[in-house]
Amino acid sequence: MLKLVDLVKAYRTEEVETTALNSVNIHVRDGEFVAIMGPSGCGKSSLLNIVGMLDTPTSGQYWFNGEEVSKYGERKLADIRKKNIGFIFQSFNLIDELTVFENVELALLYHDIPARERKERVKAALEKVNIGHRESHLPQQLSGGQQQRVAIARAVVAKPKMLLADEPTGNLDSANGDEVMRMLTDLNAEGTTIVMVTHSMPHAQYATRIINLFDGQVVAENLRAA
Amino acid sequence: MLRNWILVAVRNLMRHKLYTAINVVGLAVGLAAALLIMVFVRHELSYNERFTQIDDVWRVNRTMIINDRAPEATAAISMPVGPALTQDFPEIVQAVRAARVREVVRRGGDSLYQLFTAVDPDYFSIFDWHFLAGDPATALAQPNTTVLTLATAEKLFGTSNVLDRTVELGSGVVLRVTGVIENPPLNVTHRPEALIALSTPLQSIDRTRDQWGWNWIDTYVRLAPGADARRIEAALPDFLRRNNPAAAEYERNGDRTILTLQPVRDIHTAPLNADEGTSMAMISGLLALAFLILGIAGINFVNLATARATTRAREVAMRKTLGASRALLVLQFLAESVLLTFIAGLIAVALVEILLPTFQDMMSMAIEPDYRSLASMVVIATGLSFGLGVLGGFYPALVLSGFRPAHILRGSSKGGAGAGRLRAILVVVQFAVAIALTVGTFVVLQQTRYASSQRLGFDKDNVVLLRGMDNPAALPRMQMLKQRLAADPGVVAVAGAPWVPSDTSETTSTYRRTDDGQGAAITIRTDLVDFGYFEVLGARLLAGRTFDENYGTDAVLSAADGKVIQGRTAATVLSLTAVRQLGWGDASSALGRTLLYPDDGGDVTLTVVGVVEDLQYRSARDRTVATVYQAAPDATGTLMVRVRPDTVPAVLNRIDSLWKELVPEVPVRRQFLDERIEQLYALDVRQGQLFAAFAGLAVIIACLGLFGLASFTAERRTKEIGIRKVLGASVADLVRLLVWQFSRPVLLANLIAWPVAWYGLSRWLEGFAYRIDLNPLLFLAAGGGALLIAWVTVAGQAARVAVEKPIKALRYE
Repeated sequence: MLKLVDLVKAYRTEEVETTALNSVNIHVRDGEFVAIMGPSGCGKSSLLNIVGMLDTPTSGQYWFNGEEVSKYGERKLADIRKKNIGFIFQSFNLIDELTVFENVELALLYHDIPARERKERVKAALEKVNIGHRESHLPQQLSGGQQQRVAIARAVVAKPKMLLADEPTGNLDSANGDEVMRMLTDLNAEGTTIVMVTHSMPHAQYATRIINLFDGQVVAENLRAA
Repeated sequence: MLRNWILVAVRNLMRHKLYTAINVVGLAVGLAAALLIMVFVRHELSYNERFTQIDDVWRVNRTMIINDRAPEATAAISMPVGPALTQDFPEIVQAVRAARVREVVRRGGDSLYQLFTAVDPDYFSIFDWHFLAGDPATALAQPNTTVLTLATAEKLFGTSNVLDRTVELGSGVVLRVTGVIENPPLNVTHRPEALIALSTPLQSIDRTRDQWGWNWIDTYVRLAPGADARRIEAALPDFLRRNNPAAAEYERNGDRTILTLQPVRDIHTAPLNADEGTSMAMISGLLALAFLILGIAGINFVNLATARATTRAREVAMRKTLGASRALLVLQFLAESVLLTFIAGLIAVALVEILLPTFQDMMSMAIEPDYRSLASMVVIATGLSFGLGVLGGFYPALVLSGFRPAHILRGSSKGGAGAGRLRAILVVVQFAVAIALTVGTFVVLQQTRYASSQRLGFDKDNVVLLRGMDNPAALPRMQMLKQRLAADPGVVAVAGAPWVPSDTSETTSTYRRTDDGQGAAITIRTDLVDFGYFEVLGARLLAGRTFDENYGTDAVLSAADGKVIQGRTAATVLSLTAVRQLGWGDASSALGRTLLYPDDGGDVTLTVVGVVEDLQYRSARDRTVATVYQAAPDATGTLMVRVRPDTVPAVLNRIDSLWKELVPEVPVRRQFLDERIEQLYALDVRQGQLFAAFAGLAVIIACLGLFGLASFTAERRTKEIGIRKVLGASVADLVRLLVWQFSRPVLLANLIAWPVAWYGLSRWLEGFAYRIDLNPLLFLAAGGGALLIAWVTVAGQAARVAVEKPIKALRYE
């Protein structure tokens, strides 16, 4: 699915240059569920942003589905992104002014999909995360766990090959967190590749492989005991 | 406490520079516009108030209703009216007549024109000018006395010390200077340059002293305290019947003359002619404009303040937690907004100081220094700023102070969202006003251009008017002058007339029909014209011929010494409207018909030899008037000289030297016909420009507010934009999203602005006899323009946010 070769990400400000990722090599196969762990500031989010094509690396190669995308421009990346990748964030990032239904539908609006099919797919996605009965509510009217389920529905409604989750359980209590993790596991079982950044060891255990990052470098890769 | 408020206020203003700049600039421009208008309006309302008796003084006005012509009101009445009024009405304490006469003044070997106002001896008890020398009680008691203004004294003598010196008129009359008065201030309708005793023998006055039919002077009456002007007015028709020997005949002809009394205080704000003052309608229109502009600037203020409320929410919450009451918070935010409007007010005063000269030029009127002093402007600006600050600040203060601290501090509520609908409504209002003003401006400008170029019936360009031909020194040499001018290679044609188009004077005569068997009388405007008159003007001949010297029988022969000559005949040319009014069908069927003209020396039979297109003698506000033309080559006051366009300066030089050679006693006085006609529309043009300037300001201020809102919204929606981007939206998608959000209020504004503007402008256009049709395209264009400006304003902001990398927005909030 994706292969990172000697990937470097450096941030420049006027005075200093900080290296967020230092020669990272990672290979994720189709259908894998990978958890990325590490302390704050180790480069997890930078890594996820590059993998999600929301940011571009300073140097190194990024192979996605057999394509080297690290030199691609904004427009091309956006195109690959919307066809292949779904996102889940710690802070849900639902649009306050839109209803649950509309938030999920948003992910289909930028694909050429007829309204009728959109409606069906949104309903299906909402059913899948057990939030169908709340489709006309606004995000503020939902609990955190419900909001995250809506965010998951939004992430999967376009049927992406890969799901990127940035601390998806960070803002949730343990019951809701476990629920979200079960949903991700189910999605993975259906064939979706998942890359998840997390602080939580118990939740990392849901993954098939854990990658530890420290100061921008991969320090350990553990295959979960099957 | 106050120190803390000011500190927070100033730091807030400094930190949010864009917000502060938009508010201050918008408010300053709005305040400056309102200030300018207030200065102007205050000045206009102050007219004539400097005279101590003003509340008891009235001007006698005259309204004429002739045939089916619209009633025409004028201040010109005849000389016998004043004295007869004091005789017949005990409650009329005095009547002062003022006749404007232009006289040649000899000065050494040189001569110049001087405008005099001939007045009754007790003139100064109504118009109590400040005397620098002389005694107002006796100054004009004797004939051949004159009182000069300071400026005129200095112009004629080079000094102000001129008591008992003499002024010699061209006619030989010698005037003794019996007084010097201040220069009249600007806010006075009656502004003499020099006064002259009405008893002085002057040709123009002497020939009309007893003429009830010769209306040309102003008459002011002072009523006894408590006298009822309306009761006097009601008795004036009988007064005319009693005194005017011709009154009975007028009434038989179906014509009416109505005398009315107008308070002198109102003369400037209820002008009889549009160009003689500023009507109350115009003044209230300007005031409305001022408040609309202030309103638009105020809306910006309210919108930006409520939109930004979230940024102050934490502060409000903390202050409340620490014990501030809601009232105290409201006071704090009001103080902040007043601080902001005061800064804007300060800038506005500076702006007005800079702009006032241009404004005065544009309005082509000067404002009396008292009314444009810095002190007076500071007073107005302070009032406006304070009012705007309190009004504009009140709602935001309520919103801000209403936040619930618990919600804010827990971070669950963002506050300020509820004001979103109000903001949208206010933006709609702003743009509705701006669009309506824009449409109005275009229509005013269009109508002005149309009116000054259409329907004249003649070619106004390249015609030089030589005035003063009726001067006794010039008249005998007119034929020679005409011949010599006609021989000039740069001159196309020459002809004379007592009055030319753009002179508002007119003569009406009573004719008798010969075609109805009863000799019914009909009053029609009469123009005495020279041979070649129509040719010089380039008037369009519709049938027959114009007057021709070669026929020999065209002109009315004057009856010498009042002897009656039987069986006189002459030719006449009619205007098309006259033909219609007489019921003679079309132009060619009028040829050969006759009218009887009752001349002093017996009836003259006039035969129609030609019909011309109507000539517009006034402005297009009035309909063209039926006119009977008679050939009278001697009745000339003005020579019209049509010159070749390419040689104008050279021809002007030759005209001047020819005049100097033939009429050395009288200075040459010449004008251009087109410039005179432009003057008729000067006020309309000024109004158009004024409205254009202020409408432009309104649009700019409205867009300023939109810019602020757009930048704020773009900022506030960064997260949403980020999400949309992650989900695959392109920059174009996002710009479209934001632009559409701001297009809706502008589109809605059109729906409000169009009908309002349509109604208002239709009403305004009704004041013109000849007017343009309202073009729906214009409305579309104004709305489209506003939309376009709004797009440009918003698109930049939208694009700025849209190109940013989404991760910035989506990281942990």
